Parts: sequence; structure tokens; C-alpha cells
Amino acid sequence: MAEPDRQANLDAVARAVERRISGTFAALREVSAAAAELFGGSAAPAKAEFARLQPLLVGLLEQPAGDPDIAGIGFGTVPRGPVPPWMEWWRADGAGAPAHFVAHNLNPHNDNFYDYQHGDWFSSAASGRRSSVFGPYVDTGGTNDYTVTLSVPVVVSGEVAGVAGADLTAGSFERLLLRALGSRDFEVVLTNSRTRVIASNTPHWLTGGLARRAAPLAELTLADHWGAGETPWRLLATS
Amino acid sequence: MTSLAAYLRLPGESTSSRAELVVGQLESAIAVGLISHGERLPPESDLAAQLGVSIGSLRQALTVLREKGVILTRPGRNGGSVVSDATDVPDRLVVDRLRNTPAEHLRDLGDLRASVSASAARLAADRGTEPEVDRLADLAERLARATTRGSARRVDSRFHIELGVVAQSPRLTLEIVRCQGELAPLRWAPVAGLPEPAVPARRHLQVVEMIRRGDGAGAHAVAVAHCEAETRALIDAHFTLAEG
Repeated sequence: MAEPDRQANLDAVARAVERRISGTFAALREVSAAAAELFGGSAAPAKAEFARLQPLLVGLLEQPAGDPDIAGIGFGTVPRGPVPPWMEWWRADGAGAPAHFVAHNLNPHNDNFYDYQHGDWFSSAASGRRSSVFGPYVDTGGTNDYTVTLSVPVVVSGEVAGVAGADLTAGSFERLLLRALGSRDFEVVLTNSRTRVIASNTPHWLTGGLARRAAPLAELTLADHWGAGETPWRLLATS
Repeated sequence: MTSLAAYLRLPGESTSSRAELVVGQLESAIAVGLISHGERLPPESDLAAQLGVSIGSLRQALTVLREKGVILTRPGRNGGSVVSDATDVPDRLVVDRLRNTPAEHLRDLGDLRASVSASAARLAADRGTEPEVDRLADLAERLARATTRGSARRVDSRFHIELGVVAQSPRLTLEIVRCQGELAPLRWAPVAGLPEPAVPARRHLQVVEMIRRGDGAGAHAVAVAHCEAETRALIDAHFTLAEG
């Protein structure tokens, strides 16, 4: 297979991945704006207030044509003063299934406590005050899926009031990769910045494995259009 | 209190009775923080309406929750049900369970736990990155420093669960969560003879060392040996209680 063909195929996959990530961040900007509005009143919002985000969250989950195919989306507060710890998170279990609320265990004394404030997706956006792309990782106590989480901080009057996040399953990147590739003449691997495999079209590179020792014949680093810090993903053609 | 119905999905088909479902939903609501500790539950008719169940089913569920110590009920005009502050299962119930669970059940549970934890350790050696292994080491060290049974139990379980996470395995992690849920309260029961935190902490650190070196077979072997030793100690404690 000639060099230029490999590069062209990698470019096609990269564009598809970048489109999906951009689409997801666009959705997160909507959630962020809506969440910020809840803090606009004189009193700090109570837990019940965040239920007003539901129509927006459900609408973003139930997008037609599964694009950008968001598996879960929501908002977590930065508890401060009267603002309680709270996760307004909704999920759709696959195309066509109705969206539902995800009840995270927010009791710190419970063995199954979901410490969202210390989750990488939350803390990198909140303390770094920047967009974040984290994963893939096993989301224990949350969805229990193998997940990539995109997140943005919600800033109100100069303070980070919370973080809006969206989950994309690692598995859904395979569909995107196979569609954009259009051929199985060579092996392509999508990895995160730590060489962890997000998706591939080959059993030689398993999702979750590390592609540290890969000797790619062509590679491409996805542009970081979203200011997400050190999260540029890579595409490798390994045969 | 906001309507619980919007937040708690009623499964379409279930073999559990209505009351059991309500127990699960209320425990869930408390865990999520929809109902806080010390908060009073709404009047029975309101609560039954919100959950979409009969008062009879609700009352059955409240009885179970009272027995579990999840809610406290004061009789009389100013009475009502309040969510209690105690979140751990009462010691008495854990000791009873350890006394009454046959050794065969404990062995079977221990076998499964050894299998899933050791498999996760093996995969973690292959797939773990430096920061992930550091997190495991930190959990092992925190177990060594644990001063209460509750904190030891929590950090011990978190270590096993984290093995599944570092293994990048959602299914193994889920199974480990289930095993730990059943085993951990018994393993950390307030009875004499069960190993102090320093003992499992040492084993955990050995597993971490193997994972850091990328030695999957070694990590698996140490994890199996550790889990088997814990199973034996648990069965020993069971017999001490059963014969006493």
C-alpha cells in the first residue's frame, strides 16, 4: 500500500473524530450556559433547581442519526456555601432507548460513594479552568462503561460553579473509525496521549491496551481545537 | 422533597415484590442525597403517591427499612419516620451473618473473589500506566494506616475495585464491586482473629510491585495467595463464632 493512501485514510479518520469531539463540546457549551443561568438568581440553586436542565440534557441525548452519539451528559456542582453536592446526570442506553436519570451515590459514608469531585474529568476542568478530554477509563459507580468523558467548567461571576460533562463510549469510536476508513487493508489504532488504545480495526491492538511499542508506518496527532491541554489523541497505521 | 418518581426508574418487569422495590428505591434516594440524613420522610399517603404504590406496600417497605436501621420512627402525633445517621449495617447483624453463613458459602464467595481480583491484577500489570499504579500504591498505604474497621473496609474494597479499573475491565470491576459488597463487611467484622490492616496492606503492596514491573503472572499469583489466606481466616472466624 503506497504511503499517500495511508495518510489520506488517517486524515479521513482524524476529521471524523475531530467532528465528533467538536460536536460534543458544542453540546457542552449549551449545557454550561443553561447551568450558569441557574446561578443567576439571588439565592443559590437547590438540588431541585437542576432538574430544569432535564429537557436540554434529554434532547442532546436523543439526537437524530446518533450524531455525535453522546451516551451520557450532565452537570456536577462545585459545592460551596449553600450550593450542595449534586450530579444532574442523564443517560440513554443505546439508540432509541428513553433517557433516564443516573442516581450516583453521593453519600461519603457509603461504601459505594461516587466521589465525582475527585474524578479526573471534573477536577481537570474545575481546577484547570479549561476544557478536558479524559479517558478511556472504567467509570465505576457511574455508568460502568469504558468511557471517554469530555468536560467544560461552568464559570459564574469569575468562580467555577460546576462542570458540565459528556460521556462517549470507547466502543462508539470503533464505528466511527470503521466508517471513515472504508477499507481493512491496513491496521489503524486510535490512542489517547498516554498511548492507551481507544479503538482499532484489528485484534492486534486491543482497546485498553498500551500502544507503547507500536512502530507505526504512518501517524497523525489530532489537533487540539478545544484547548483541552495535553490530551491530543493519535492515529497510528501499524501495517 | 422533589418528586422521587422522576429520578427512580421502576423496572418494567421484576420478580421482587412491590415492597422490596420500594425499599431499594428509598435506599437509593438516600444514597443519592435526595433525602438527607436526619430529614423527615413525607407523610405515608404523600410518599405512597409519589412512588406510585399502595400504602400497604409502602408500610411493608418502611418496616424493612426500620429493621435495617435505615430509618427511625417515632410514634404519635408529632412522630414520623426520619432517615437515621447510621449508614453502616449494625455490627450485631454482621456478626450474626458471619456466624450463620456456612463455611461452604464463604469458600465459594472467596473463590470468586480470588478469581476476579487476581485476573484484574494480571491485566493491570499489562495495561496499567505509571499514575494508575501510583494510585494503587496509595490505596495500599492508606490501608496500612487505617485506624477504624470502617475505614479499613472501605479502602480495602477500593483497592480491589481499583485493580479492575487499572485492568481497564468494566465487567471485572463490576464483579469485584459485587464480591466486595458481600465479602468486605464479613471480612472486617468486629470479631477476634481476623487479620489487622497491616497484613492485607503488605500483600497489596506486593501485588502493586508486580504490576509496576509488568509481571502479570506474579501479580496473579500473589493476589490468589492473598485472597485464599483471607478466605481461610474468614472461615476460621466463622467456626469460632459458630462453636462459641
